[in-house]
Amino acid sequence: MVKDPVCGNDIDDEKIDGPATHANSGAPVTDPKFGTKRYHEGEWYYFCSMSCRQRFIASPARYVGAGEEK
Amino acid sequence: MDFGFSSDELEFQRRVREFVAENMRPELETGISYVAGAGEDDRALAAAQAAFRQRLDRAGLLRVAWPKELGGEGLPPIYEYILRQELERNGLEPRVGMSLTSAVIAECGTEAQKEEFLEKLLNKELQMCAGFSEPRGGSDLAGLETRAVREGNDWVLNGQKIYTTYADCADFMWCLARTDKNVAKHDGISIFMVDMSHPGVTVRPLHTMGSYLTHEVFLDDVRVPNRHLIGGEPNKGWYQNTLALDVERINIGSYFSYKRFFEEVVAFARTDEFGTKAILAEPAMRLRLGELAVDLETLRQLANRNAYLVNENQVSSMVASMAKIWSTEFYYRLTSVVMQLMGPFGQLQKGSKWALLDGEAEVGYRNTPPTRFGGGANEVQRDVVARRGLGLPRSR
Repeated sequence: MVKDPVCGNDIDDEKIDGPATHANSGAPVTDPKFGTKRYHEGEWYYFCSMSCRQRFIASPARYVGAGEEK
Repeated sequence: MDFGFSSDELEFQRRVREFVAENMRPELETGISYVAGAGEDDRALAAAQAAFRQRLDRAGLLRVAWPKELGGEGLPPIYEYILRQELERNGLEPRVGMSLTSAVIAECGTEAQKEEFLEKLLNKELQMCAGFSEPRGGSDLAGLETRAVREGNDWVLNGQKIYTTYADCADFMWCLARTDKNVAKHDGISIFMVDMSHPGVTVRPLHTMGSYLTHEVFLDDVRVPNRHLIGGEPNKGWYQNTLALDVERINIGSYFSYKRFFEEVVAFARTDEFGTKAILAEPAMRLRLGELAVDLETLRQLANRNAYLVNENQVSSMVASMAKIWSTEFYYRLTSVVMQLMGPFGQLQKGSKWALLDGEAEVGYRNTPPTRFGGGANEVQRDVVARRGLGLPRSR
């Protein structure tokens, strides 16, 4: 589990990384309802929703270090 | 003065028309909603299209713009434009021959890359997805953040793409990544063919309005062999991709798809089966249809002008942007008027018992927004017109 750096909620990074199903190529396809993630300055950050991620993208300095990173 | 084709081009057009007349099958026909990607998961249709492409190739018509040294005719791009127009005129899938990806590989790829990819791309044995847009903004392509770092014979990619159509079925992603952070942003970009089956690639579906499915793609320490760096040399990606977009430009327009649908709509309005005669007697509706006819002819002129300029190697971003704006916004106006004309019937989906014109108005109406964003948002295209056409200063 990790923390969403924007809202502070606990989220399951394993579920965000999936897979729920697989693409034709075999690539894992995740289930969007578990959340999403974002690569920023060499680190991945996990979010419960697109809106949290958008807030992060708008001002990352405000949130970097607030949640657990992977 | 007639802005027509040359005698050689007309002869080629005649050959294509003859071929299409002989080889057209009802199962190959697609509706207007196909312009925006609807129906692409139809496997029976895909199989019929593949067989049609093989026949086109055997007839010597598929490789018109393909380089001579690679077994093609090496003719100017206007021939491929004519081929696609004729296919579209008959409701056939027009995206055949040179694609954005194959054009760049043919021009800038290593010999090994040409060998590995070109034939498969032509035959559509390989499905591609385009890794351009990123979450911080697709409009500022040069500002992309996906990074590629060299490690031995591989590049290690980290980052994220968004609005990646076909990521669910693609074999490879045409992926732009930053390979040098210490130079001007346009100069530090490279293109990679990223194998979508490689570990570290994750696809997340984004369901959008209409029948449009797109995706986010996460690249998490994805190792890409150096042989899949386009051209074999890093930091050339921006210029290689500009070439790709120039090739793509010639196909902007979809004029014949819209013309076919518009003619069907006018024919439908004349039938009076649903009381449309009374509607047609209304000046407002007649004006709308008249406006659409003018808009359609404007689209034809813009698309032909754009194709002519590309063919003459006088690529005009301004004209291409105008054609893109006009084409996609015409699609919106067209389907809006049809919804108005059909009244409550317009909202019925394909397959509904009372759906008119096979429900094309409904699916087309919902599909118009993605066409306005895709391939460079229309707002960005208007900015191009303002800068390159009117000479206004660059926006911040």
